[in-house]
Amino acid sequence: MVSNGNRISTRALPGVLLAALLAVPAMSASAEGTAEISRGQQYYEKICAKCHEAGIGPVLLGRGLPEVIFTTIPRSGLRAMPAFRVSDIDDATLQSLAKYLANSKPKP
Amino acid sequence: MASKYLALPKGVSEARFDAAIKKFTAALGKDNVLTSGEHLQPYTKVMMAVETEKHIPSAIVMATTVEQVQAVVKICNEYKIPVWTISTGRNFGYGSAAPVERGQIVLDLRKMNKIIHIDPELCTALVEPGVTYQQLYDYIEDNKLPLMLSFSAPSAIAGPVGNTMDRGVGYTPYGEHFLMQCGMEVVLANGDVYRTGMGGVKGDKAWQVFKWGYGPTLDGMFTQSNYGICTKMGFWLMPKPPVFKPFEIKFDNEADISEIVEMLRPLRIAQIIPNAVVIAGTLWEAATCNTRRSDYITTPGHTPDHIVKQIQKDKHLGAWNVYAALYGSPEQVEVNWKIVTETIRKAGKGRIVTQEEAGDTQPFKYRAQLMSGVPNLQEFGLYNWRGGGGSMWFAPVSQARGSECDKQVKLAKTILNKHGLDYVGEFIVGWRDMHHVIDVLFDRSSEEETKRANACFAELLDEFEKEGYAVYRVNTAFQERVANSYGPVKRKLEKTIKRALDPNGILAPGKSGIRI
Repeated sequence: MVSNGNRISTRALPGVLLAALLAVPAMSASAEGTAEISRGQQYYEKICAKCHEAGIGPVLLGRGLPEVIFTTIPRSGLRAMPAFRVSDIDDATLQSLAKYLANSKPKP
Repeated sequence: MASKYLALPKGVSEARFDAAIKKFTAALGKDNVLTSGEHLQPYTKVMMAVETEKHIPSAIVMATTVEQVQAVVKICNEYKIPVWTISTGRNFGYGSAAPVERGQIVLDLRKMNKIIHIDPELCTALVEPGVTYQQLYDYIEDNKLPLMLSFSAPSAIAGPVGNTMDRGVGYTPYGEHFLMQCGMEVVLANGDVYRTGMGGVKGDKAWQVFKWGYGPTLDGMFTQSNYGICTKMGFWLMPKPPVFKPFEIKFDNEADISEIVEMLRPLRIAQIIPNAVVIAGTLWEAATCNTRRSDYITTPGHTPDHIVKQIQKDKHLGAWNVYAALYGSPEQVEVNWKIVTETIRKAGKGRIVTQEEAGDTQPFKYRAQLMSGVPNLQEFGLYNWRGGGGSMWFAPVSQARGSECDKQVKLAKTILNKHGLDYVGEFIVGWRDMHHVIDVLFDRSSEEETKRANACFAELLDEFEKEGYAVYRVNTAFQERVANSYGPVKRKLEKTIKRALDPNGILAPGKSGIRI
């Protein structure tokens, strides 16, 4: 029998997080980012932005979403979004990426 | 008692697997041996229309040196553990990073990511398996090297070793990647480190410039196979041309495909147009400029032709959209541009769009980037057409002949529509062949649609086979099936080689249907 088989993904992805990600971007102000470009931000600009700023994946900047979304979904992947392994992005860089995105401001 | 592992290799007890894991940990360090559900999760994200559970690995081992790869192979032999090797693990629509069979361990070489050498004069590269095209692009840009890459669409995160080992293609004049491969280092099942071509000669400097070496040339044997683990690969890079002139030709009618192919083939074979030309259908184009099916229709099933026509009109697309480019000195490009435009003028159909006219619009922009070696991920827009993360590439080969392409399009569309799915396809023109690449897109979050997609894919294979067509590459769920298309003699020979090289059958059993 064929099933959608997303047992692992859904287990690690609480519905509230998914709903938050797919919701309309929040307009609330985010915390101040750091002046220097973190490893997480570099990764975002080099890789993530190629979808998330190209109309393919949802906008992530300035959404006021919690860090846990950005450390959870990349590891599981989500629908069309590929999963990112620890060999692609290590835990420290992913944490830095999450911090950057959670505190980012919307693009002007 | 429940196992502490998500899965176990076939025929291996938990106690035996425990012992193997202990040895892997001693060889690689504990951070490079993963068994928890949390760590395995990214390796289970597949897009195929089968249960995820069928492709769950038992463990992940990560190596960063050839010696570590040899150590992994040794342990696998000792404990009879099957090992599925990935480089960047970005074989989307073909199996991603998951093993062909549940319970195989994954040897992840993503962290083995050194650009060993790039020679800007000879225009060659030698890289490890974990190197991505983006990494190479950055290196070339940072060092201002006059070189150009060729890659597949997921360029920012995929890499040349994995793509070439699976005989993937790109969009530049160097788009037939295996043709441009030169020199390979392979760890065999017995632990030997074999170098193809000139690589075995002491003091040799020609490994990356002369493919054939002496005696049998075995490089091809290691592609789409399970005879060894590639740990280094050489390949040729195209010199960056002084002029790059991308262009598109839009054709309004689906029935134009035959004429398009007849018109382009002479230009391609004569190298007037030197790159791997693409002929993309309307829905491919629509999806890659961020059009969703749900923008037009929300009822299930295939998208009716009148809606496709409406999308074509709204988005200013062709029924077929040809992308090609000219490369060279200003004089060369000028001469070839005259030949191309004259050919189109004589045909009396087809509207040419230049870069100047297209500006920054999609999908022209990403196509131009793909044809000039600039990484992007715009083609992931395909996955949003239907949504739900289901994708399997159906990629039959044909002659570059109009009548053949027309026949394949009609047959594919009929079968896809019968199963409530859409024809989202393109032709990638080799020198004399067509890679007819069709993305079987479906909503993987729907059990019913996933079942339909599976049945559709099986029927596509069956019906195309009846007409004498076979695919050049396929996802891991259908590899055994496709091996049969190529006949029993080939299968018997492959088994004989497998038994000779890998008597324990530890290297990726089931890859391309090959086992001991």
